[in-house]
Amino acid sequence: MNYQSISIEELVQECAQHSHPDAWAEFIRRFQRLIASVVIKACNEWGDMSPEVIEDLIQETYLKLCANNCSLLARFQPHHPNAFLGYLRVVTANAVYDHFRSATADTRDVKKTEQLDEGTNQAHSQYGNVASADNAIFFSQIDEFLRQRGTGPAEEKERTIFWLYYRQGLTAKEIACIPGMNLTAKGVESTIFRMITFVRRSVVSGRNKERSTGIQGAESF
Amino acid sequence: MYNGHISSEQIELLSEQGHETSEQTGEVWSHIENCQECRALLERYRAFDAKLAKLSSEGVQLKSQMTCPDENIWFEVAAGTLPANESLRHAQHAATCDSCGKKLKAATRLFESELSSQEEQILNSLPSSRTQRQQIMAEQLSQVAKAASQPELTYAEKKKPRRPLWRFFAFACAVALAVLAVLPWASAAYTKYQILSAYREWRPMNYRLPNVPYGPPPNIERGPKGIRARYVADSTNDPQLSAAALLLRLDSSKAIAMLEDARKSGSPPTSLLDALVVAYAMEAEHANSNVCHPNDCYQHALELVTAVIDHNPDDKIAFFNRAMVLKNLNRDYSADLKRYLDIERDDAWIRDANALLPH
Repeated sequence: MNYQSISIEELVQECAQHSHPDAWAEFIRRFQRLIASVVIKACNEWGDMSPEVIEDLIQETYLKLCANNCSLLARFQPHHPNAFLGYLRVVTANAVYDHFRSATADTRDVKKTEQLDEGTNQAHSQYGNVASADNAIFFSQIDEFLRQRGTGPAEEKERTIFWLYYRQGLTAKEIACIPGMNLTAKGVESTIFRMITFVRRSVVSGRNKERSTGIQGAESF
Repeated sequence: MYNGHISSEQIELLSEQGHETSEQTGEVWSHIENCQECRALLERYRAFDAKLAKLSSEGVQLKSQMTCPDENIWFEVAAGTLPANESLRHAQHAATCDSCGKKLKAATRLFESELSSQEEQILNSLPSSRTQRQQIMAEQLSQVAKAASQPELTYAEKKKPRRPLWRFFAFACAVALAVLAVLPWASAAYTKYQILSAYREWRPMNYRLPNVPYGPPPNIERGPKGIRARYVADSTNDPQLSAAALLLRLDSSKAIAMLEDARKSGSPPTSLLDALVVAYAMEAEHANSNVCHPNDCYQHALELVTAVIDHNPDDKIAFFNRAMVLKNLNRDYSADLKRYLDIERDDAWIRDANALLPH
């Protein structure tokens, strides 16, 4: 059988059902880069870029795909084109995170760490009380303006885009990649531009009062 | 100009641009310098922008809330494996929850297809990026997958008319007996395959175990290769194989106990003594050993390996291991290594030994 000419879904089923070495060779040829990329980035996230660990985790991912009679591959149901690529990314990321979480859990006293976290949060909240309260008020103020635009699905989506960009720091391209947004990166940029213009004017000058009633008194941000 | 003042659009533009002056903006800046109202408005725009940037960098509330979804969901959102409406619902939550927002951001960065030059360099240097290694991996994955799979009945077989029940039971009993007879053998063979494969990829010690294929020696910077070792069972009927699995995890004290038990139970084969030498030598590298003091462990390994060589002067493994023990004791080991090179025929082992020869 010529595995190079079959679709991704057919190849996945071949690997799951017959596990021919040639099918796996083609699987590795097609997906090695994707798996390795996710492993490398995830290792970077956890601060361990040792090539040995990266190589081990790549093998760990393949072993997971083979485990339990290739159940991960067998139960894959494609809902849209390229669905398998996303599925494989999730499997790989989970394999890496599980490894590091378990490695971290092995080398620490969980109870003590929880206490430390609590302590840090408490200290943080005491020192950062004024700043975070200030941020919370500012956030509520803007969010209120955004909600005044309406609470329909389109307005909710735009509000989500605004906060993903300005509060969470996602780029327009990253936001566009989230399914359900149904926008290109340009579309996201355009939405953000419209929203920030609206919010700026609403917050700074007061809605519908711009220049016609003169400049508003200085507000404390 | 609007009512003798600068329009909001212009003020916004200036707030983004800073103090860059051009022919177009020169007049506007000069108005701002002279108009208190416009200057105040510009300051307010700038204060707003600064505040928004601060909100992004400091966040509002980092602690997780009761309504936060499981953290693994963010991989699925970023990878696009969830239905669109579910994905959007989670994105809406992440937009105003700093804890989840950070996780979503991390997940989206993880799945970016572009790699930095450093990441690209690491990717290209990986053994699994080489075609030859991929071929070996394909063979191994095929074997692992087949070992766990059961042949499925075809549609035609499923539709065959039923035979009398007693025939079915007789057949099932025969199959069960056959499986029971073969299962221990198959399980032992699979365990052996796993252990040998792990050694073939990498051996965790500078010594050499008998009946184990060549594998690259440990790098000093490299820790125990825990992942593959985790999959290797150490409960086999063969004490040497079990000890090999334990040594793969650097558990030399347990390996010593197992091999010593086997040694006491009868006249031990030379290979078992060779393995015991390796276990004692590895135990000597444990600063907090509860088996013996490091120097005593080395001494014990040295006495044992010398006895093996006295009994069998052609035991190449013993010569190799004695050379390594002497090397660790900072004693002359070149004679043993040269003797080893006279006997050894395997190119990979010869290459390793040559690299160890003192200059």
